[in-house]
Amino acid sequence: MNGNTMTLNFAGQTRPIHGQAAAICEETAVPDYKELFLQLLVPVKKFLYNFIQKSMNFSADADDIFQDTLLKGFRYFHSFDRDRSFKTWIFTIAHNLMKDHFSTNNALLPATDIEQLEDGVNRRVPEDAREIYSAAKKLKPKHREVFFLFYYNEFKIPEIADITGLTKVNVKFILQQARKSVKKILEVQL
Amino acid sequence: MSKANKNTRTTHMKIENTNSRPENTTDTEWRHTDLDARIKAGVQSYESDIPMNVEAAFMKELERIAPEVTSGKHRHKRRTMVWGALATAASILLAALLLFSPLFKNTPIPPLQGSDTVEEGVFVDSVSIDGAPADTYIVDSGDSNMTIVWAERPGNES
Repeated sequence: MNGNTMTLNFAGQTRPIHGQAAAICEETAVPDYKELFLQLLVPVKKFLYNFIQKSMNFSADADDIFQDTLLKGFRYFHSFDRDRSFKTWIFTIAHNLMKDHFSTNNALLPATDIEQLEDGVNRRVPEDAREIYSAAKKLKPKHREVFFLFYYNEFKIPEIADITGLTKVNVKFILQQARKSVKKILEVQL
Repeated sequence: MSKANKNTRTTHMKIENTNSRPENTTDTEWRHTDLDARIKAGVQSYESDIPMNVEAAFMKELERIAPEVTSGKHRHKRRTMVWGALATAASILLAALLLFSPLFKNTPIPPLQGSDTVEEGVFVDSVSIDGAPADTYIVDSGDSNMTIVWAERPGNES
């Protein structure tokens, strides 16, 4: 990235682009707001979708949360700090939307067991996966999010703390509790 | 693990035990030392693609929010329209200048202020230097058609 600052116009406001967004602009010469947002979304959206699905126990509401996350991300893209990771930013939006959803729906979501998920093709699922998802389903919503952010999306502890608004100590504690719970279930299966 | 209905199992999924346990290790020991890796493998073993209807609904809503087109073809069209408008405006201006410019020919110009002599056929309104009226001289070369206008700051001794 060179020292010059690129700018983009959105809704009459000129904003500088730098960081991850500027790198994409330089490579593709695409200063358009919407195209930039969609390009940044491409490597992230499948992981975002699966994270929301798993955190919400594969509930039917997960699709709505996913769409709302993307739309809200687009609406507020002008306020996105270009020095920050886009992936962390969009996951933070997803976390906030799920938090609001859980607070209004009291976590009584119609969950789907992983055994019942089918896509018309025989899907091979390792034996452990079933127990792990069963254990994760019993966690509190916030703890489940941290669990999947760490084990599925492979975020680091500081990134998870940034996304969820928790302290690093709290994140580590939650992960430890989740490990204990899964370990107990895996041991029971012996 | 409770045994699922055999028919259900064959209909919905094939279950494979993909866990490979190192030799000479008890099952308990292996589970304790490798717990994080097993959790990660288990969690990441199941993943689904985004359903097409979900993605389509998002793009439709996005178009509604931001209807301005963003493809290269449409950007080119927009840019072409702007240049076209500018070219049209410039043409109209040029045409107006050409049309009305003959009206300004032979317009008499008042005699030069502050000059002692006024050469026939040459009229200059006024000459100022640094905002102050200048002493102005008009010299007719005589041989050629050139007329020289000389201006000095007032009070300068040449």
